[in-house]
Amino acid sequence: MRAGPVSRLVLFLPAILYCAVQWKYTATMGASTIFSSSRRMERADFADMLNELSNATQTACRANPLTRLFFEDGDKALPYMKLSGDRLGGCSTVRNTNVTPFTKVEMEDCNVTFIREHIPPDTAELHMDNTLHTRPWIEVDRWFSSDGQYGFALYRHACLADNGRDVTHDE
Amino acid sequence: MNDDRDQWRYRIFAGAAGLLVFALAYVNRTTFPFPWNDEARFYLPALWWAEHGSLSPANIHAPSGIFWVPDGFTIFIGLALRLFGETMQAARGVCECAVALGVTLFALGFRRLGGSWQAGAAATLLLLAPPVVFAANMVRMEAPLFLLIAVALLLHVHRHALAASAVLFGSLLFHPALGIAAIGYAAIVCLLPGSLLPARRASGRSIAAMDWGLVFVVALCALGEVARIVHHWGLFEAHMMFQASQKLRVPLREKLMRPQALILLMSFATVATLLWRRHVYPKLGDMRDILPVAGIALGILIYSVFGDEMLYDVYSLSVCPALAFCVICRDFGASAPNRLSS
Repeated sequence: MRAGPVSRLVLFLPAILYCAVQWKYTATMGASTIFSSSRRMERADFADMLNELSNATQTACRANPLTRLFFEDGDKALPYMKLSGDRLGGCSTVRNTNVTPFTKVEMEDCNVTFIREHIPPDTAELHMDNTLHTRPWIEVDRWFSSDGQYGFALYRHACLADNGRDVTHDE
Repeated sequence: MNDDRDQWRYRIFAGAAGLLVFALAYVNRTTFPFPWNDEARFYLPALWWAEHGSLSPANIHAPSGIFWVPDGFTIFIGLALRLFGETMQAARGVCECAVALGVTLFALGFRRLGGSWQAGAAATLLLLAPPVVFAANMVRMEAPLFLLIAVALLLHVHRHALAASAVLFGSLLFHPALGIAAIGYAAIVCLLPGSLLPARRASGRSIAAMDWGLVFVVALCALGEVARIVHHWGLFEAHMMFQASQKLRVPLREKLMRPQALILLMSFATVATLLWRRHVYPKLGDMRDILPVAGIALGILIYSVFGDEMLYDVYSLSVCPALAFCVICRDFGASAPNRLSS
């Protein structure tokens, strides 16, 4: 049952073929594509978003040092933000998950600032539509990248939202 | 002399394959895949562990602990964060390195299992593909699991079946994806006579000690995890119910109508053919070498197909086809019989 060099080399044919099929059909997985031509721009947009989000959360914390920053389960930016040190001015940061959601009482705390992000492959509109919570939410900050792919919005309960800061500025 | 040179050339190839995957992953960081919420779910508990030494991550609103996955990955990444700095880049770098090292170890294992450099190199080609890069670029359990499968394969081809079983069962401390594979491998190894015996070497005693040492470490860690689960039984039940409801959301028929299911079917056919060939040609070589590997491949494939997540494509589209391909190479004349025993 020993094979000669030729039949050994024949092994490579199916291997190369399967490898090529993998590259053809799995080069796009989900919404992302390997060696996507726009990857440099996407990376820059994400970095901009992190920077803007960091600034926005710091502003919220400076305005009210008791602020609790709540990130939803769709959050992708929090792990990339520098959390240690004094960056968030002592504000606490919590992110929920599908398994450990925020309770209604926690959400309706007047010191809560809720953060919603928009990063590919998100297609949903960026707005506060959680019907569980009865109090009105006010958008206090918002940012979008130039191509509209990356963005975020900060919301606050009406009980504490400062009308003076209730400004929406798209970029 | 030539054998030595060939061996070195192949080692260089194996190292280069690992480096290539690392480079592919590095170039596509945060764009293949995009940052996603799963990373936060697994990175933040690790960050909490690195900072507070606690498995009750308040930063993801789980002050009593998380029980929808075991704690192995949290501690693995937590250790990396302590060593290399508490950043996402450090965590991602460790996952990339784990997969790159895994590719190199797979290549070495494939050569021994396949019995020739051609078989090894051809099987390794199957790993130089987007699903592997995808797994390397995620801060998720797929990266360490990929490495653990490679380690188990390498231990198997060096006739350390007990240690390989321990590694596969130890992977359950990270994620249940290799659970069926671990049971399948252990069952096959126990049923095939002589499989648990380590290779005969001058340092035979130390090899056996390594096998038992691994078993002991895994058993100790598993005991710790079980104790933690028992202590938080109510929470564990609730989290598992949630997981089960998520996994059962997609109808079975839909899961079976995918290319991954076809690969599973083909792998079953391959194993059936191997068994049939042994029956017809009893001199074909030792089943101890290939059947346990086929058991690993099938076990992982079954989990991947029924788990039905894109994240498992690294197993179902790359790792398992590569394992199956290597087994076929071994069986269909690309190697000398009973090579592992030599």
